Amino acid sequence: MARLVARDVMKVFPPTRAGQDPVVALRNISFEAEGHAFVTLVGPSGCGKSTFLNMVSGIDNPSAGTLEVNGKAADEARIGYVFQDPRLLPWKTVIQNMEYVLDEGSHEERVARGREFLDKVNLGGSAEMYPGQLSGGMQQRVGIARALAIEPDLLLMDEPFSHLDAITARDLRVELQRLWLDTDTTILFVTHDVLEAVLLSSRVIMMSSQGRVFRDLTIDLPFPRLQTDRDVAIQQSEILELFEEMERPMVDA
Amino acid sequence: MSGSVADVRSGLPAEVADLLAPPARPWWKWAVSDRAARYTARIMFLLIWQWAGTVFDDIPTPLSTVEFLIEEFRAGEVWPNVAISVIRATIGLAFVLVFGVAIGIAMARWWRVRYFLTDLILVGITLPAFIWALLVVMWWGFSNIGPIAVCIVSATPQLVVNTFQGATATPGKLLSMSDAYRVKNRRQFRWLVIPSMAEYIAAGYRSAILAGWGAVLLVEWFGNDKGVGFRAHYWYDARSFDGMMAWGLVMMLIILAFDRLVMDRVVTHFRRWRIGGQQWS
Repeated sequence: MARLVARDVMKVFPPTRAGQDPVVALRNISFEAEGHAFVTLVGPSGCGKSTFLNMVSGIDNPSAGTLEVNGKAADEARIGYVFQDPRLLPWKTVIQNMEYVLDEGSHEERVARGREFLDKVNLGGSAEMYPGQLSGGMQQRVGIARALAIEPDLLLMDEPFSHLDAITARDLRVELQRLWLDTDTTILFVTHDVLEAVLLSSRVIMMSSQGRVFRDLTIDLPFPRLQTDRDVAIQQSEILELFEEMERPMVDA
Repeated sequence: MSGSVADVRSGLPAEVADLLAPPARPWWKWAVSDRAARYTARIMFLLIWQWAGTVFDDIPTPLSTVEFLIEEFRAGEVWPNVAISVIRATIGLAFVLVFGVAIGIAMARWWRVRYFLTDLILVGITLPAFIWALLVVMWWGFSNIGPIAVCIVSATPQLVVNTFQGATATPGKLLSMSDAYRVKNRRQFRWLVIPSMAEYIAAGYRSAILAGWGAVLLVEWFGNDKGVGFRAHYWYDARSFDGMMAWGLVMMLIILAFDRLVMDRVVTHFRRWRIGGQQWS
C-alpha cells in the first residue's frame, strides 16, 4: 500500500515554435491517496492525465509543486506501470519480459516469481511464447502481471484497455477488480471512459480540459461490479452531468 | 525458448495435428516454386558460361576452369593461399566488428562524437579501396599489415552507418518503460539496446564482410606474394584466363560459403522472434 501526495503540481510545456505560447498541461493539482484505494483520474482527452501519471512514475518532472510516494520523491518509489500499449520487449519471451523488471534474487527466483504472476492472470501456459504470438488482450495481461510482480508501492495504469475490443476490455476489467481485491495495492488509474471509471474505482477525480481537478468523488458501490449493474449506470450518468455542468459556462461564453 | 512448429505438432492429438498439416501439393507445383527458380538461375548461368567459353577464345569454359583448379590443388597452391587470405580477412573483420559497433553506438549516444566523425565516415565510405590498396603497398610493401589495414578502413564505415541507424532506432517507449520500472542501465543495454540493434548490426556486418574481403584481395593483387588475390594476379601476368577464372571462382566460393553457412544463420537467429510472430498469424 502507498500514500501518494500531490501538492500544487503544475506542468508547462515550452512552445515548439517561435511566436507560440507555452502549453499549461496541468494547473495546481493537489490530492492525497492512500491505503487499498483504486483512484481514477477521469477527464477528456488532452486534459493532462497521462502527463500526471508520467510525473508520478518519475519519467517526467513537474514544472512546479511536489509529488511524494510514501514520503519519498516519486522517482525513488517502487512503481508498477501499465501503459496504453503493452510495451513488451518483442525479442524476449513472455517470461523473459517478466524477468526484465525484477531485480531481486537469482535468475531462478526471478523466473519463479514471473511464473507465479503469469499464473495469476491465467497466462502460465504462454510463458515461453514471444509477445508477437499473443493477442492484444493477452499482451496487456502480461503488462499487468509484470506491474504486479515487482510488488509496487503504487500501481499506475494509463488507459490500459483503450486499444482493446469491447469484449476483451470488459473481461479484463472484471479480472482487474479481482486482482485488486486480492492484493492491498494502491492503484492510480487514468481513463476518459466514465463507465470504466465508475466500474473500477473506489474514488474518481474529475479533471477539466484545462488541466484542473474540479471534483473528487467516492464511488460507494460494492465490488465486484459489472457493466450491466443498474447502480453503475446511474453513477455514470451523474458524473457525465457533472462534466456537462462544468463545461457549459465555457460553451455559453 | 519456444520450440519449432514441428515440435509443437508432435505433442498434439492426431486429429488436431492432421488439421495443422500443410495441404497436399501436386508434383508440378515444384516447377513454379522459389527453389526451382534458384536452381534454374544456376543452371542457366552455367549454360551461358559454357556457351560463351565455346564461342570466344578468351573466355574459359566451366569445365576448363574446374580442371585448372584441380591442377592448382595438386600443385599444393590452393589451401596455403586460401588460408592466408582468410586469416587476414578474419583479423581485419574482427577489428571491423569491434570498431564499427563501438563507433556506431558512440555516434548515436554522444552528439559531439557524431559531429566529429560524420565527415570522416563519409570519406571512408566514398574513398575507393583501390586507393587505399595502392597507398598501403607503398607504405608497408609485401606485409600482412596492408591487407588487414585496408580491410579495416574499407569495411568499418559500412558497419558504423548501420549500427548508428540501429542505435537511434531503439524504441523510445521501451526505454521510458524501463526507466519507470527502474531497470538498471546495464540490463537495459544488454536486454533492450543491443537486441534492438542486432538486426542492423548483422545487416551492416554482412556488407562489411563483402567490402573487407574484396579489400584484402585487392591489396594481395597489387602488392603481395601470398594469398588468393596474389595467385589471381600471378595467372593474370601469365595471361592465363583459366587461372584467373579459377581463382575468381575460389574468391566467390569462399564468400558464398561464409554468407550461407554463417551469416544466414546469424541473421535468422536475430530475427527468430519475428518468425515466431509470423507463424502465429
